[in-house]
Amino acid sequence: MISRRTFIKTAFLSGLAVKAGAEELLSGRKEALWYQKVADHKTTVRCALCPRRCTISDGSTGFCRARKNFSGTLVSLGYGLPCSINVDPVEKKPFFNFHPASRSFSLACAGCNLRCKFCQNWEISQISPLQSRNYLTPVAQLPILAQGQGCRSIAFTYTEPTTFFEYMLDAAKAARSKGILGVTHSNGFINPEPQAQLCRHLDAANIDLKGFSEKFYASVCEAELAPVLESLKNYRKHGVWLEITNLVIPGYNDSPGMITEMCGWIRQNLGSQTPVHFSRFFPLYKLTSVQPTPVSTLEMARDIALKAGLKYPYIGNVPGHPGNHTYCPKCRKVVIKRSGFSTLERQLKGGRCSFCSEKIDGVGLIDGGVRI
Amino acid sequence: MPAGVVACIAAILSIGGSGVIAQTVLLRELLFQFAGSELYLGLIIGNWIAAEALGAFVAGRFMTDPARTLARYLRLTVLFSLLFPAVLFLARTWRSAAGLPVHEAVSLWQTLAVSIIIIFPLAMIHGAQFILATSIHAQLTGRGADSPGKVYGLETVGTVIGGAAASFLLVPLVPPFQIAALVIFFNGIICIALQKAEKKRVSAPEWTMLMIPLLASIALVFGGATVLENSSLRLQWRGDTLVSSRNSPYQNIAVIRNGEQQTFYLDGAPLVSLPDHDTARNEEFAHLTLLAHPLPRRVLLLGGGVGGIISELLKHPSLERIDYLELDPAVVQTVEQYAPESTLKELHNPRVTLFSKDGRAFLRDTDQRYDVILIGMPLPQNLRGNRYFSAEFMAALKRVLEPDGVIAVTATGSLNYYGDDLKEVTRSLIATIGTGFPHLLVVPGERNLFVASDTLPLETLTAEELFRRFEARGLQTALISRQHLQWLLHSTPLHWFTQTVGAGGVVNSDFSPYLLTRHLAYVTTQVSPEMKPLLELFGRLKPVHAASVFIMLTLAALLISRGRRRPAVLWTMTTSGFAAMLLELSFFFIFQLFQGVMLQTIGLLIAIFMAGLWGGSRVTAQPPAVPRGDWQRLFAGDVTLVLLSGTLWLVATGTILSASSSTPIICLFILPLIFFAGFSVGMQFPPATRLTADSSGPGTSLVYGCDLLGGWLGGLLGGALLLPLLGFAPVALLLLLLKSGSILCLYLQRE
Repeated sequence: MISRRTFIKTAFLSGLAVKAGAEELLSGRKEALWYQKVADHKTTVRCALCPRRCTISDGSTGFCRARKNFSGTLVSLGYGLPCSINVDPVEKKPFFNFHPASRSFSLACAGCNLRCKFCQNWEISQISPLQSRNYLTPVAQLPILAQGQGCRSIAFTYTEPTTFFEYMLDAAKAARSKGILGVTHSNGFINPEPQAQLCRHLDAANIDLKGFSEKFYASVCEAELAPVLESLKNYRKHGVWLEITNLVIPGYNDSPGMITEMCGWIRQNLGSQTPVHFSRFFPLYKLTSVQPTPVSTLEMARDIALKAGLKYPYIGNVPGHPGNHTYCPKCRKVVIKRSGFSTLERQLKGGRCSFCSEKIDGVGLIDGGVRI
Repeated sequence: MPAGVVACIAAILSIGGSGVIAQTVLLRELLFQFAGSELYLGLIIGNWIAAEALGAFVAGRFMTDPARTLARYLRLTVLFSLLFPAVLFLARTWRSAAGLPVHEAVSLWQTLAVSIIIIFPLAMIHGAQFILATSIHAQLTGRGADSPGKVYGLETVGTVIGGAAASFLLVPLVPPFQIAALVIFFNGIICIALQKAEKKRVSAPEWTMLMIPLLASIALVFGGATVLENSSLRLQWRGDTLVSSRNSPYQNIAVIRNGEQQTFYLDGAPLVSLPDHDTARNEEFAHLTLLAHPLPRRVLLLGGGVGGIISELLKHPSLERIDYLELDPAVVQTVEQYAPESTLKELHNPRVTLFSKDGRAFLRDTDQRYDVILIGMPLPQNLRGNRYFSAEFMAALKRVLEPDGVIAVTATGSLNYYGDDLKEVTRSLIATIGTGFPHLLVVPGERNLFVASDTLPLETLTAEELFRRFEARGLQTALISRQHLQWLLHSTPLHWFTQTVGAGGVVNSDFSPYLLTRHLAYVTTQVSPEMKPLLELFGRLKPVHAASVFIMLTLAALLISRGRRRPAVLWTMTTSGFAAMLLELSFFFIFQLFQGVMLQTIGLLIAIFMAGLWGGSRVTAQPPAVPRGDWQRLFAGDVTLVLLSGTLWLVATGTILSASSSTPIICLFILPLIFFAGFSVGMQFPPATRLTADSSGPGTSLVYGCDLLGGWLGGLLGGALLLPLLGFAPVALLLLLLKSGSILCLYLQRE
């Protein structure tokens, strides 16, 4: 029932291989938060973590493949067992107005509650933690590892962090206690109650707004748009720094009408300070025959966002493009110059534009006037 | 000769010709669905044969009334003619027809099911036509006993003519629906001639039916083919503005436009988009590679040169020349026709020389020596592509590289996670590069970059050293900076990569394409994750498993045929069908591996095999003059198959012949082998039918059935699984084992 591959673990960066047995995993297994027993049923449960609200019978996993029912107890399979651990520039998440040029200790456990056909990390998002090769990494180790790598934050990313909610929650708490920030890159497909619990310990979120129609979410992601919009508003409400990523896919979500509508909604509901990253699509996963996004489409999207009054629209996945930089919303001068994930130059003073003193929205915008 | 007989002969020739032409055209269209992978060839040919057999069976069983034979034949021929363009249309548009999104990968099962649906009806009719034509021939000539052999021979002649025409004339020059028009027209004329010869007064309904093919072909020639061509392409590329689509001898090349952007596709997979470049790919591939060399002067770029990488390479001041080799001239022509000015300017730079030639042939023939060779091809999804990721290729590179030169290749990678397949692909690539170039610089990423050298200690290169060279060469870039170089060459991801991927990969070779099979498994599970357990099972297959199965089956055959002649003969025919099909495919693939032009010549290659089959059956058509002569003929066939398996082993182990042999030598060697693979099983067929005869007559259908079953298994299991998974040399030995077993079986049961 449980794949043998689950138990081959390597302690990250230490070079030491640690082997855990089946009993070890089961004895330390983490009961999930946010689920109820189904009335009139001994062992069937209903998960309340994400809008799918899966009914899970004994021995089965939810849609996300990351939460399994053991005789009526729902277990978070990925807890303490990330399959990916990495040190990334925070710009890779992407966060552009949040502690620029800092490092982020990034991790993921296998599983996802969506089925996006363009998934970049399908090898880990579309399997269960029971199938992935994992690193046995207790929560207490994470801040130590992150500090050792000079990281300002711990990022829950690559797959859908909601599916390893309990690990993310405990890790964010542990991080904060050591002065490390907790950030997530998520699809925003989460119920309001667990989200509220998470937001108390989270510093920033980058949420994919994958398209701006229910049709797109249904046909490409097997999901719904409305709960994502709801959770975006909640992040704003709970005071978590919010950035948005919109992967622009030709023929799917690139119509000027859709982008205009989306930018208007963001401006109205989340505020003009919300950075939006329009990312270039390259053929991937199941969309292998779709052409890459023309750069002109991304430029159009950025123009629409600016016209809608958004202050920080970016162009992603096109290194060297002027849309990589952060501009002062007032004097339009470059305040953070980038290429790809590299920060090349900063013109900031006390979180303000060093040319016109306009406040630049964001968190941890450190001063700098020289070429790095 | 009476007019009826002449018309009948023409009809039989046309059955052979139409069949092979339809098969060739459809094969190309179907391979498009399988990303050009030849490994599915066995599956397509195997199913074609099975469907023909079924058609022949149905006709032989249910269409026996001599009075209605001609009418039935005419109706089937008209149906075949019309069905051919229809399934051609379906091959392109089935996704649209089934409501599937055209740009999204579909599961392997769907693709397999559709290719069978496309092949089956046509091939079934073809099988039935043969049986009916035999009957018509017998009626017209009044010599029933000779007819099957005569018709078989004539059909083979038709196949050879059709195969040659398809390979050299039709496919390269005529668009598919125009080819269909020609086939329909010829068949229509022949139908009228047959009908007229048979009956002086043709009724109105008969005329109506006979006119259908003529009218259809006229409609096709005068605009219909263009309409079908355009509308099928429109549906195939639904939602896109298709600017151009053409079939080269190697692949389909399509261009779509979106505003200013043009995207070029090869067999449905995007090759490059212009004018917006993939800056990350271009800069990292070009600059890290050239910075790894202290003074790059002469650069060879193998594929992937369109789309901005050449401008990046030209930024290095020491560069004297770039030889850019694109494997398919039609790709270059299409680019020249549709690419924007900026791309053409790159290609027409005086320091750039463009070559259009098979890469392996170029490396074999060139006198140039290079400081840097960049391999711009994607990871292989077919045998043709695998030739640029094999140990043999590394040896060929080494021959044209300066001793202190470097080579570079990029491949799918990850900074997060390596599943088993991607890990094996990566390990295998590293091991294969290591056979020629022991010093390796790995730059891990979403796209790994491997830079390797025979003598330069690249593994000790630091970001600082590269940046020093970067500055010394005055390079201006969008992405590459000191920070970026430090990031790329940081020890943490490298350490993780080394730990995760590990050492000890399997060396990939032309004849044991391990990397290809693991990469195919990787891309297959991407779209059909449900196949993962099955593919993992296949991955564990070893020669010893197959050998055990073969030995057990042979033992069972020995046991069952103890004291009985029939099972021994039938076992021989089953294994011969299997061996001949697998040898045929192996020699096709060797042709592909050495020459890279199998797709272009597939019609001819199939025809040569068929000619061998027919030739063999002619030699033994008459009962033998000596007692036990038929047993000797069976032995002779089996011994030929054993010898051919031995020859395959010698080629696969590189003992005789290699990719560096000249083209005429390769042709002179391989083409006869294909002929004899057919010949050996063909010569066993008539003796086997006589040896299995009982009171009800010769055991033709039994023998035919066993032969087909073997062939079908050979195509499906042998071509698509055993050859790629086990490698050619072990398969040759397995065939040797199998046929030695059947020889033993025959020896024990001979009279």
